[in-house]
Amino acid sequence: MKKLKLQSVSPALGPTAGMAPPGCCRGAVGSWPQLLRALARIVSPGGALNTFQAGSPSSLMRALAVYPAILQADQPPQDLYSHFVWFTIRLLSAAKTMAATLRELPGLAAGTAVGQTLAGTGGLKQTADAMAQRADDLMRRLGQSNALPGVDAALAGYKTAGASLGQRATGISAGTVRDLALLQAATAEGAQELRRDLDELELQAATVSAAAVLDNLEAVMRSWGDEWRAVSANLASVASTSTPEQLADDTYLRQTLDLDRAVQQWGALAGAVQAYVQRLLAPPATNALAAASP
Amino acid sequence: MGPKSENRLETQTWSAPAGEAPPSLTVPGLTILGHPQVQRVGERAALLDLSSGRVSLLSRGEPGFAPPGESALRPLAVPYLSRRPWHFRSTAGGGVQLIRGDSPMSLAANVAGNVAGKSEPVDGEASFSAAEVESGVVLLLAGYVVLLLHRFRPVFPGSLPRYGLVGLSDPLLDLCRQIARVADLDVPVLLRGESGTGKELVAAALHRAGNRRDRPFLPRRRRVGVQPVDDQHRGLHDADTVYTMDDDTATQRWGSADRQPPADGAHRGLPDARKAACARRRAPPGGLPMSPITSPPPVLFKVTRRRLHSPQAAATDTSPALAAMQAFAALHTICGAANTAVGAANFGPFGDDGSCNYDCGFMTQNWNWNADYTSWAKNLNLLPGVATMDAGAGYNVAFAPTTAWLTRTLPAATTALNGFLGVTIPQIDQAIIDNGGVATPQQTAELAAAFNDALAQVNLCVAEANRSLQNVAAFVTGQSPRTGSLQNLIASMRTSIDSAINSGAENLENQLHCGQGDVQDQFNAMQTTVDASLVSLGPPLTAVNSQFTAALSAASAVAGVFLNLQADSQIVTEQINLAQAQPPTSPVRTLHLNIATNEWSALASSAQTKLATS
Repeated sequence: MKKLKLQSVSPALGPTAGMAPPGCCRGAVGSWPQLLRALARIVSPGGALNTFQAGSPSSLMRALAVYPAILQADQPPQDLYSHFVWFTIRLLSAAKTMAATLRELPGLAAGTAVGQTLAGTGGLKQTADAMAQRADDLMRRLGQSNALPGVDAALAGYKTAGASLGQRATGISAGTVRDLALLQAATAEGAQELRRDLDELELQAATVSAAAVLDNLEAVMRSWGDEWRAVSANLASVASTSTPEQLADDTYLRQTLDLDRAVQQWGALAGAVQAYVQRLLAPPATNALAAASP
Repeated sequence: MGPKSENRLETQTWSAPAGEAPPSLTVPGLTILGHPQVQRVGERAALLDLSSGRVSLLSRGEPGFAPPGESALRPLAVPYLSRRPWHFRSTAGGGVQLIRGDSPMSLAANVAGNVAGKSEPVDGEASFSAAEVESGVVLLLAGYVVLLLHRFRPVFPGSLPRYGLVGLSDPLLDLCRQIARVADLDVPVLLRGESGTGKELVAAALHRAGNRRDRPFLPRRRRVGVQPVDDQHRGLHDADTVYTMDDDTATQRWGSADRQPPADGAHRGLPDARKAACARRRAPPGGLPMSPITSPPPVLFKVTRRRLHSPQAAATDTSPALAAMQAFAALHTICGAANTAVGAANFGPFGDDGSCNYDCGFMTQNWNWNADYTSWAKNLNLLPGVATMDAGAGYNVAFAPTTAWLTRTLPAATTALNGFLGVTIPQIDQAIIDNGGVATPQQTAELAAAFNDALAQVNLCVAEANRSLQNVAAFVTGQSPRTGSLQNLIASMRTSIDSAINSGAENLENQLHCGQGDVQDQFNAMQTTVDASLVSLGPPLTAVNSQFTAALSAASAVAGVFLNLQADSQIVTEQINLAQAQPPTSPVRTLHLNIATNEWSALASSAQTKLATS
């Protein structure tokens, strides 16, 4: 994807620097295949997390085959991946709405109308507030998911078991610990015990890995919430500190508020998210999600 | 061919045919590069008033555009363009001046070729020199309609053969004229152009239009410094052989110290050493000793990127639907190759005669591996498996509702929405404003009905789009489990055959009390041959699997297009609701109506572009 770089100081009406593509979604979906792999290990028989609904591109595709409007509903879908896509589609709508509305502002020629459009009922501030709320909702849900059953115990056990195995296989790289340790212990009495330890270690490692991915997603959503709150504050500030005469003045809008650059930046964000959304249904193995992230 | 005939032919080639406007008779005009109705891309309007010193206008209603060669003019007619026009004036020296006047419509301009630069908003006025107009000035109207201000010949040669080349620009039409004039001549032709400009397409057009059109057409890539050897073409009398080498490659070659550009006369009239790129020659009996690039070319074409990258072509370049269709077509081809490979697999000495004999002196054993293979692999597993992977027909069925939606429902909804949002509601609003802002009960009812009808149009159209999405999603979901199935089949078959071989060996060894080593050796040899034969099927079956995965991914991208359309429709619905919540007298209502109209146009345009399959 072509990288778009926003200038360091965004216009008051533009997206914040933290929204600048690329990277605004990278942390969220680039690690999804890793999450799925880890969860596949966890939800296996004996795993700690057999009711967790992570979702995936293919599960979302299956859902769309039954209910194609699932992502248009007011409430997000049940599984995490579909919830994330649901959020991303609203991110796209919000960015486009920002660009389209700001583009029309000079034609209003009425300061009160401009102020209303920015921060009044149904205005852009409401759009930003709604997006902040949606980001917060997803963040909270991720936080709940992040409290994976037994994740703390898994983390502690992972460290203990890792240290123990490390002593038994000093000098062997982590990737080959299992095979070599099993080989060494094949004729020893403790082979069965070692195998159990290794299985436990892998389970704990998968749990920790999944928790790490979910923690990262949660951080990304927290960031999105903060960015939208900043946009909302900027809009409110412009509406409250500008006089109606100023807001009715094209020169003020274009030069003081740098309206054209704000429109361009929202459009760039919308374009990046749009290209990203188009790939959200492709299987992880083929869609290079991380590379495609806006 | 002597110098005299070269000169004569060159002169004939570049002169304008009788009855047609010579190249210099161009006028300033506008060509549509981007429009909410994508089929209007390529339409143009000649600004004839400018040539006579008068003013030309640019607004929603003016000027009239038409596809080249057609006379029925239509205005841009995009609701969010202002009716109050910008003005074009000609300036001294052949330039053009753009003046805003009282038009509220935003306009940005970018001189073509200014790749690094961006479009600059034009505030009051802007002037473009004759050279800039000649190279083209891109105009962006209200952020949605894109026009090219440039010069072109106003008379379109409708009868000119096109040879399958896409594009309507004057340089491309010139190219078609040149092809028409030399195609039936028995002369070498030299095509020049940078990499990717389509030299081979022109060569193919020359071949199709030439006297040897029923003979082979042999495009060959020529590497730098390598003299072509035509041993492969010996006996192909009267074939058209094309050697291609790009301009930049040619530059490298002739830039070397040991090989200088041909002296004057070889490429007379060319501006630099970048001479040869693509040469058509007639293969003589007995083969073609190439001397080639340095031989005098009597006819010279220069193929540029611009000619082959027409707006019409650009409109379909990025269609995920087209990419998916092509991916499934490629899958079909690869499945055909895999079918051939499965059919061709054999078991060497153990299968040629359909049986395997082992004689231990007193006992003969027979195994017919080919029969096993045929029944097990060809009939029961592999061939049916490959046929199942060839999913293009299923995809076409799944995609068919999308085509119907694109061609019928979407245009109808767009027309209806433009009527409600751009005409009906604003007219009622204006009547209310004219009445002092007080709506009559009838007006209130009419407004409510218009808003409801608009929302109903959106909902109906989106519902049908969702059904199209559902079809594609169901197709992808149904096909996904097949990924990797051929590899599983091959592994399963190998295990099965190996097991049969081992079991046969054990049984025989148990019956024999002598020659166990020979038996084992014989069976090992069988197993090696059979395994090797199965391994040879790996690449074609892996190719099927790989392309199958790619095709499914492409189909997933088509489904992804619908997610974008859902986002767009969400905006439209919200904006209609926001507009309805405002009083008829509020300018904010107009703003929301404009956004709804614009976003629906963007939705329609995006759908037509991304779901186009031709």
